[in-house]
Amino acid sequence: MTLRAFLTNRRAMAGAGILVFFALLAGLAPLIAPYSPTNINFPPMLGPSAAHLLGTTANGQDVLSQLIWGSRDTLIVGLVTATLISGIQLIVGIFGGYVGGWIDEVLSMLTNIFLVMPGLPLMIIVAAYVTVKGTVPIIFVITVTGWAWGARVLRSQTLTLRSQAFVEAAQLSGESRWRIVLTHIVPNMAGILVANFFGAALYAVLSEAGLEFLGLGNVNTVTWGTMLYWAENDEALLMGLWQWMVLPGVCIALLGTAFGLLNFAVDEVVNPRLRRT
Amino acid sequence: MRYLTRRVLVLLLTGWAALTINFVLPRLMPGNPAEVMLARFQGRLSPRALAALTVEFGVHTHQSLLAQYVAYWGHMLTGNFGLSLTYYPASVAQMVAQAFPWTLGLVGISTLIAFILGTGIGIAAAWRHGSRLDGVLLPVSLLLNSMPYFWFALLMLYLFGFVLGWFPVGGGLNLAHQAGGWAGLGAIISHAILPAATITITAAGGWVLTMRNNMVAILGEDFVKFARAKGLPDRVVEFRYAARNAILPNFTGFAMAIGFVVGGALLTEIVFSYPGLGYLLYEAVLNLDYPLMQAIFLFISLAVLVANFLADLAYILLDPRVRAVGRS
Amino acid sequence: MNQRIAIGLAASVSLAFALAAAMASNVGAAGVKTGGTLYSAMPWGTIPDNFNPFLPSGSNAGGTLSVIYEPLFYDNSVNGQLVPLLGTGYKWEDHNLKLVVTTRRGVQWTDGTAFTAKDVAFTFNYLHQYPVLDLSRIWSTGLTSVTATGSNTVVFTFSKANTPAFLYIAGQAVVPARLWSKVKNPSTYTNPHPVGTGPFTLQSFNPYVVKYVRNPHYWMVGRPYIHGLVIEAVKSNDTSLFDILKHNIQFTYTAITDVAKTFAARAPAVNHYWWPVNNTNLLYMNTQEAPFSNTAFRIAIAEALNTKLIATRAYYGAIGPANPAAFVPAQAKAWFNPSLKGLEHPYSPALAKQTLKKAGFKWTSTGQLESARGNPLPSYRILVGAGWTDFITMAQVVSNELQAIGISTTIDQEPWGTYESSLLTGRYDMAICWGAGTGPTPYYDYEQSLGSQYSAKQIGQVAVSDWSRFTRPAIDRALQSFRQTSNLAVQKRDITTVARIILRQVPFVPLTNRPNFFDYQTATFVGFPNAQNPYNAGDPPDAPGANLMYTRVHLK
Repeated sequence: MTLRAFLTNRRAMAGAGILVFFALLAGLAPLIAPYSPTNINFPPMLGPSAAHLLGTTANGQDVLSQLIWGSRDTLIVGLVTATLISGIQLIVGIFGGYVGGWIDEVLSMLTNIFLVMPGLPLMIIVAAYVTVKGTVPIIFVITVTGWAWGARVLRSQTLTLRSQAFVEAAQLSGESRWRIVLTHIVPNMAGILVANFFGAALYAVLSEAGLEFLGLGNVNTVTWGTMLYWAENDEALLMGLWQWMVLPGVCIALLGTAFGLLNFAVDEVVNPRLRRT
Repeated sequence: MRYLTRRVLVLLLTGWAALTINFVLPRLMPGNPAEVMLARFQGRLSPRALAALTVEFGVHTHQSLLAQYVAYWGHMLTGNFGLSLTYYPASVAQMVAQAFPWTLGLVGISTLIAFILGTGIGIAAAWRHGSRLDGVLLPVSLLLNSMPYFWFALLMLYLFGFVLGWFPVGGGLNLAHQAGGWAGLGAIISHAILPAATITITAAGGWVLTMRNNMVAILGEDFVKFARAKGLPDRVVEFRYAARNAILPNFTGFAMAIGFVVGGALLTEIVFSYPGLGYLLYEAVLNLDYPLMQAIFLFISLAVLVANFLADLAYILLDPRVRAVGRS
Repeated sequence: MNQRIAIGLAASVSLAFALAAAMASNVGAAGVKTGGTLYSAMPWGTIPDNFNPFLPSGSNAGGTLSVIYEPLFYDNSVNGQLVPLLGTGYKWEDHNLKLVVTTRRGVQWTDGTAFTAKDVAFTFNYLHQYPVLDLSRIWSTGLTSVTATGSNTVVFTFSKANTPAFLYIAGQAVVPARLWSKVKNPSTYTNPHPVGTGPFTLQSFNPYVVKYVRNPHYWMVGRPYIHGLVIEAVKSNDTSLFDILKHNIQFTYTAITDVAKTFAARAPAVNHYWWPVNNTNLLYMNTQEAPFSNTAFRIAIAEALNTKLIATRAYYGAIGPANPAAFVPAQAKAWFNPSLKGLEHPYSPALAKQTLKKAGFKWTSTGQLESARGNPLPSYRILVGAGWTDFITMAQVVSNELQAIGISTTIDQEPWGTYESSLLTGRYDMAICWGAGTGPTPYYDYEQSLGSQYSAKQIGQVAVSDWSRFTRPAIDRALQSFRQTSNLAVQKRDITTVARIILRQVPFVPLTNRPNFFDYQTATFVGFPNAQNPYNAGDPPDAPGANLMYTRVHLK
């Protein structure tokens, strides 16, 4: 029933369409990208041509290949980070909010601490200490600095639900805490959880781009974020290589929009009140 | 009252924990300020200076960590933050005082405008939800909300600053007109428009989305339906009944956003070469300037904690019956 | 003409410098438009409210060391010329144990008092009293005393001969004894009302813009031509680039990407850049760590790197590849011994593979290099500083080329603190960085980057400037010999000795030249330094060399 509602939802379809498109790009990158994204042996700063549909970068890489391959690590960063963040939020926000007492006090204090901790220095420290250079530290940093706000929202939502009749009924019938959380609380918050997941995915993608822009990212991979970093540093706009600067940003914005549309659609499906009248 | 005491206690405990982390974090970083200085000057400062700078910055004063921690709390409580190392020997207080008004002016005002604008549009979209206006506003807000901020700012700067020349290409004050009075104010405003506009545009999208959703949810509630059925004028239902209740979660978000204002807007400041706290913190971190870093942390932590606390209170004071559908 | 220069004094010694002739021709007399304000932007973020000349430039407000305080001499690190400022001449006596400097007559501090040799002696003794201020470590060069023996003569006495120390003495900013003798804590003194001898005085300050106004009593009569100077702090290279493209500023010190195309070509008649080379960017290898401790391995790396391509990609043709023994082009003429040519390692991946093979290395079936015992080599890290895109680009090309001979690498972009600390303590595999020393002869870089006193015995200990942690007694002997003499022929022999060891043992691979990134536009002002008239080294607006530019630039 919900699947059908989802499939007939225009926003859901648009969002899913964009996401599937990028997922296909990411999955099929080795097949559809004309060149390796790290091959630096092309003439630098070419405009669009038949050989290089989107031209080349200042370092002699093919922009189209970078854009296609870039979808892969960008999506990985977005989705993996969002999963981790949602997991933490689930535990800290929902479980903490439900069980209450000192566990909740500690967890919500932890939430508040992470909420006030400036992310930037933390990122720099992690960058300095993690010897495995790659996508993992980036995901770690974004996760650590990104879960607190959502956990707070989930907790207050849980507090509201906890006092509702059906939960109290379950408690009286002697169900275990985890069971109540998983069978009664979580399903009732599915909408907000999914929303948080997509929000976190967007946050992760934007943070990765921001980290790269500050020179704190990982220069060994190709993501839309690293592409922007190089395009900006190599004065792509002044060179007239606008496609190099504009397209990665557009891709990020589109991906974020897809996350947002799906988020809305899930909300509408779960909560029919929101549906168009 | 008991509740309030508890909240205050928790607030203090959180503050203590956050500030202790602020103490520990910078000390985990490898390197020392004198070494950073060599890197910062990219070969223009001879390594010969290392010995002198090391003494100057007190890098090798072997003070126990505990003693440092005690001294740190002394500084935090008395507000005597010592001397910045990046801008040695300027005092930390002086550096922060210089940057703060710019941050407050730019980020504070843009955040406020974004909130008012976004919430207003959100109300309008929700009231007409399902209409063509709503259908257009939603994806547009999503798109604005999903753009990498620095990317959008760079494009705006390039287009309106460089190509069209409508606005200055950077700085807090124009080089040529460092005038006082009205001319100076004019210069300040003309430099602030582009950065303020980019912050507002990218941030407003988020407010539109949350407000619209909250409001649509509220519009479906029985008490709103009842108000409508009673034949109350649309305006009254829209604002007094629906919007007033839907705005609660947005207020929480706004309180948090105001807390973060204190942290400055690092990317804005870099792209537009605008003065402010964000860049100061960034420099402090890159230069391992502990005193400066700690002072700015303190301000950010306090601002966020207090905003958070007030948001908590607001929740209690205002209608607790309202369903919170706030999203980050 | 307002200056008499004691060329005769200096002619008797043959230190590396050729004392520059008179600072200026007679242009000043007639036909030069005076007035106008010169604007510059520096990507330094915020300007410190500090005019203390004993701090490194960047820690004090831009201009402190270029327009307010002046040194004795300015050494042009690009062409080795020496320009007299507060000093007029110098000579080594007593087997190079005594340095006699004559100071300029008729110079006034901006508070109206006269500048004398006593101020000079005071300044140097002040550094002795407060070692924290002695950034060039002048008092660790063997200097034992500094005395003013007359109103315009200062004598520096050394316990051991150290002729290159002259450079550090020459470059020290001189302060008025009368005012600084009263300063209680000179390292934290912000000197809010600076009194110097320079061509400008402080007009106004805020953390984002500092303004200077012409010093009407400057010792060069009629100079400077310009009336004011403004230095703005910006937060990114983009802003200074936009500013100069819009002609809001006249000059900047910025490594503009593809400068010929993005900047010069946009207004070819007025937009110019002059990037004179005075240093080298090197690929450092940690010689205290295997396999970089293996000379053959290092030679193979040198052979595998196409420095021409590296330079083109990093600087778009504006800057060339480095000399394999790290000679700065302008100094190569005087110091490069043609016999060194035969020791250079030509770019040839095939040759590199041969070198590795001879040293016992093997390759796996997938082409990865493995040790003689059959262990595949791990992936090595190339350390670069955060956001330094020229270095990252170099690292990308290096990485590509090393892959071709079976060595895999990852680029390790670190925040500055970590970067510098890893470099100093030897916690890196390979690193890209500039040459540790800059000066008018190759001695300065060689001494800093290969002298054993700047090295460290084991990983973890700080090697101040010998970052490849490579030392050889023969190098120390040659450097020692260079220090003790003022005989140019002997010094040339010593430099060749060191260069030969560099080429044979490859402690580092010089990748590209490293310039000063001087960009300027001549829409309203002219007289900037350039290749035709290299009167300074294209110095940044806050470095002592910029002084020479501020006294020459004038309205068109």
